[in-house]
Amino acid sequence: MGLLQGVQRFRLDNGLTLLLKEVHSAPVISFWVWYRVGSRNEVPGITGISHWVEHMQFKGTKRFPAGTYDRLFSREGGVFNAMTWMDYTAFFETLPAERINLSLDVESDRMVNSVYDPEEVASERTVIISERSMYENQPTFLLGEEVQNLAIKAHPYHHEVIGWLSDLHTMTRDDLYNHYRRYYRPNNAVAVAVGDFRTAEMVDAVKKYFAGLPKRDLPAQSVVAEPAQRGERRVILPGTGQVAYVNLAFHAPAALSEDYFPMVVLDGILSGAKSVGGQSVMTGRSARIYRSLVNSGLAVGADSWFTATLDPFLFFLAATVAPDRTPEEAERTFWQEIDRVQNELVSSEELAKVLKQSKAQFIYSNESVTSQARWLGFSEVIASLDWFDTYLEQLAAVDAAAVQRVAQTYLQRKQCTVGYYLPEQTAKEVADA
Amino acid sequence: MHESSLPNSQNIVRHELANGLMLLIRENHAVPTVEVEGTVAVGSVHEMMRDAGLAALTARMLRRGTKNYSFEQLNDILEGVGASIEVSAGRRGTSVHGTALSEDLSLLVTLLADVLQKPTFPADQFHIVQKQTLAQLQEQLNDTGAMASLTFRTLLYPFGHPNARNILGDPQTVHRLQPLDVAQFYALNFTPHGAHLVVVGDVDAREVIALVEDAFGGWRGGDTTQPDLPEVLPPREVRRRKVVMPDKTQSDIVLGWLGVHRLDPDWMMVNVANTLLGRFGMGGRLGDSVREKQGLAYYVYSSAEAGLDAGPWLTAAGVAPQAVNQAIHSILTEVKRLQDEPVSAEELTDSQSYISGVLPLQLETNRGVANVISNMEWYNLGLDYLLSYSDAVWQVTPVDVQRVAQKYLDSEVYVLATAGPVPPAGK
Repeated sequence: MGLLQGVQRFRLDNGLTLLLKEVHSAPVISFWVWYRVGSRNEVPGITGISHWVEHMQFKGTKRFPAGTYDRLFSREGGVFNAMTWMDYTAFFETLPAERINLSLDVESDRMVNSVYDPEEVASERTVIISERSMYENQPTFLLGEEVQNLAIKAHPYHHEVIGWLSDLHTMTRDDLYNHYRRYYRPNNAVAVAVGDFRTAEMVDAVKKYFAGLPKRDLPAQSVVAEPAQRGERRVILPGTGQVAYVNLAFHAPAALSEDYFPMVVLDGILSGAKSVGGQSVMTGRSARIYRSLVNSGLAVGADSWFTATLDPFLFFLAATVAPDRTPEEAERTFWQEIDRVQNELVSSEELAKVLKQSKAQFIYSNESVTSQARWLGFSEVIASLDWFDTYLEQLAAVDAAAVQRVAQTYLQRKQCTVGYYLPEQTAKEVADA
Repeated sequence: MHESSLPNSQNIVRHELANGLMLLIRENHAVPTVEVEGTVAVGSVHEMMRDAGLAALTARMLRRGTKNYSFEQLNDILEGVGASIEVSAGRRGTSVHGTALSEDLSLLVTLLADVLQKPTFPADQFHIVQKQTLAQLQEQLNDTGAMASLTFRTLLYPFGHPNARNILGDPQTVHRLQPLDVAQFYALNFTPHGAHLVVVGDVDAREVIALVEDAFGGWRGGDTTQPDLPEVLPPREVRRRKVVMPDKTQSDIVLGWLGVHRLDPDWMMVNVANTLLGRFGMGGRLGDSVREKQGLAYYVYSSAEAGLDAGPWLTAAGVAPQAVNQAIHSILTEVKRLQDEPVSAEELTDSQSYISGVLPLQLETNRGVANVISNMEWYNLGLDYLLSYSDAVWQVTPVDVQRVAQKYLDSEVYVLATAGPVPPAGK
């Protein structure tokens, strides 16, 4: 596919990894900095801290005080954002090519110079709590959180990236600042640029802005390994509304496991192939789950979901139950589909279809320079560039026996956590404000 | 961006079929994909109030089976090559989106033609789609953001006005609709006249013309008419409603007024004023006040919708139940400031730079280009619209911003919908 074609990898003396790819189709450049820190690096008491630190990184340095970043980038016609996930925190700007040094300047500055003003921490605390509240208004978030908490007991993937509300109330400015100082350093970061530049010039520019930042030793990391699950776990969550939801979660392999690619194919067989990041322009309507749950009228929506992670996480099956049907019926049908994929080899036509879909999704998800840079950085942090480069080859190498084997290994009842969201009653009234 | 690389009359091929269907093609060979975006001039304004939701249901049913292919066959063929076709109804138009690898262009065009011209509306699929829509309406009833938006519309527009409606309909009307209603609505309203197709990607324009002539040339249909809608008068006093949703964690607010339609001479000034108020950077002045300074909300923004009809110019935020009044007060304070004080040249320049500068990023994907070309055609902006776009942005003055803020916004008379729990006692 040539997705790595033209990608060059560099390493600065201070340990910063740099990935560059020239793309001259439009006069824009996307520049990203990825840090190897996320909710995976959190312990009880400071859950949600990585995400909050990401927010604080917009709250200013001496050179770029709070409230200046958005103005700086927007007035250049640029777009910017940041994201925190279980395994990473990433910042990016996509700008007109001739203005990209602004991005390099800001990102190198805030890698080490953010101030964490106590007043800004106080103001952002309520913003973050508001963000969590927004999620809590959604039944699917509430159910997903319950299932994840129950499925994962010990590993930090137990808690949502947003963190527990009580931790969001009690974390201090110093907690945040220490987390920042511990993980934001060049030797824990990956910078990626894709767009309209000359590689030699971009290397010089990155060196100019980043080479002076000191390398600092990383703290010893020990992440608790999740113990094997010995029996099925269940949760029934009552809540508002009239619609019921069902989730099934199974322990699943990490990105670098040899079982990862067979699981990706299994996911594609069940609900259609996605790109590396789990996105798709399709809806999986020709795949098994949609046929058996939605076409049959049991559910109004149904899906499977699996993503690449550093440590073993979860493989999800989810359904929105049809108004006249029950969660039990939806769950039973999921188990029938699991039995089928465990007991019958998938056909070569289904395998070929998943592969063709994967190729197409790969191309769609790499159309803009912003998304090209995103998936390069994502792959480097979660797995490796080689993993990304050989992604489609590895999918092509998966045979029916491998799909059957991982279905038998991972989709077991004793390794499953089942959650139902059950509506209590419609509680809605209209009054004058 | 160089002018020559912006989509314009020199690099867009525009070809009208004998039946009135307009075809627009922009070749882009950077990535081996193709995007098709089409619009047919029928939407929810064409349905009767007692049939609310019929246009949306018809759009969803187009993809559910044709004379040549069943729903499952369509899915198998499209997904077999990693392609997709989606159809959705708007208020004045119904949109189709097709995405495929460019090697599958011919397949995509053929299936799109089938979906638009030969739908069969099978009864079993109708019942599935109807049930999905009913479930979606139930989900909206349990969603504070959706309830605030939908309630806002019912307050802004007079009772019975088509734009007051939920485009999905309501449970009573959707429940009553029958497959025959969909077939009749289709037969009456779907026609190539007034419709257009935009094809962008790694394609050859001559080949596209031949394919589209072949697949769509036989489409017959009558003239379309866009109905005149009842006049909407701005509110003379505050209209407000609170939807109480007891077990929710936070409240959503939608506060706004009636804005402009897309061809209104004030549109660009409204666009710039709106960017300044609630979009620039992290939500413009609203973001600065409500999120950055007071820490009240994770999201706050403003939006000036402008279609063939004047749309709402609104502000929205999600806040803690006990902070609703403070957030509303802050929004109105910013509105009043925009009306009372001329904006500084620097602040205006920032928003203008953003609006003109972000254009190349919006045109980076085939989908983005198709969307822009489709808008130029739908609103009759002319294919060279983008060449003068930047100039139009830069012509807006502080006086213009203040004038449109005074004309359309009002810090004392407004429409306000909130949805969320009752605040804790004592607050």
